[in-house]
Amino acid sequence: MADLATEEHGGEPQTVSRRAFLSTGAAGISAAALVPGAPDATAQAAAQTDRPGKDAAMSLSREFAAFVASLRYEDLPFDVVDRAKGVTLEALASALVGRNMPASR
Amino acid sequence: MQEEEAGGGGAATVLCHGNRLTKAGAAFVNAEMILAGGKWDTFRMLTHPGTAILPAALAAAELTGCSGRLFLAGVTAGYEVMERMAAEFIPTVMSRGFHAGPVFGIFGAAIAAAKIQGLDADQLNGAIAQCVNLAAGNLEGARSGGRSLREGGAVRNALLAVAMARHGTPGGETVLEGEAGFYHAYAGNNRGELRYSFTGDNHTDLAKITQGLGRNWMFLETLDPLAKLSGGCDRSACWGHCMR
Repeated sequence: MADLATEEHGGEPQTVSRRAFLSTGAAGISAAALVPGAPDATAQAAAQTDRPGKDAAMSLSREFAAFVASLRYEDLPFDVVDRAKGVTLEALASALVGRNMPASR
Repeated sequence: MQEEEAGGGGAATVLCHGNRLTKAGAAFVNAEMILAGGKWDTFRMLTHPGTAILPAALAAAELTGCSGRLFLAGVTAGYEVMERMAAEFIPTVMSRGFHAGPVFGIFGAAIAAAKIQGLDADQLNGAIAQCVNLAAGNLEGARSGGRSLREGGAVRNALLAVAMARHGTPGGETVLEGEAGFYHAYAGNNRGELRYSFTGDNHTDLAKITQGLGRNWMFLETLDPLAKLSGGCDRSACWGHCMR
């Protein structure tokens, strides 16, 4: 919000969405609309914290189940795939270290 | 340990040694071997997800001959579910005498194996539900000079939960947040009231557990010394506690 207000006073809009927002809303932007917690901002924040298609009545285990069932490798961010490889290597390395200890037999 | 499962199965391989046991037997020995090596990943100091999740994922992958991509998706799913379930509750659950590692690890292990075995949403829900019935681990044995059964037991039970769910055993609906559910039993209440917390705030909201699921990856909080992370877990502090 602070960035937006600053840019309105002379900064160059840097993103399409911001430019579109400023061009459509510039005339109507009042101080009130930029106050954090205004109804629009709250609704937007709520929309961002909930998964699209999430059923509000789902239990926790159902939410987890739906998430896991629809999870695809192709949708995973690079960092996440990298970490999955990292923890796999870590476990295999630990098994190598522990292979001759009594607990491994 | 291997004698217990000898003569049966042959579906899964013990790491490094190469002998073949039942799935549960190999997963058990592999979990113990990873624990024995001591090179663990760490989530919020007191749980070591890989010691449970990887043995389960490997057993499922060997059973199905899945692709590397599905394997990584399964591992990711297991970590994300386990860590979200555990995040705010680790100190409280441990203050009640449970070992948070296996108590939460069983969920990660079951989810990873279930994803790799291709369970659908109903079956996954059933697997989580049976894990609630099987989650276990107590601190006093290690505190009083013994050696506690930890992730090895959790991963065996995780595979049992997955097998039951795969055959359609209905699990129930509010097994985690319900009046007699997982958080009621292990954290002492289902209202998000904490006896201890990492942050000092002794209240959380169970709805936070799944907030931003699939967009915000708690998995990335895992400390993995092989990844180039700044900082890291103070292993020596953990060891006095865990390596008994």
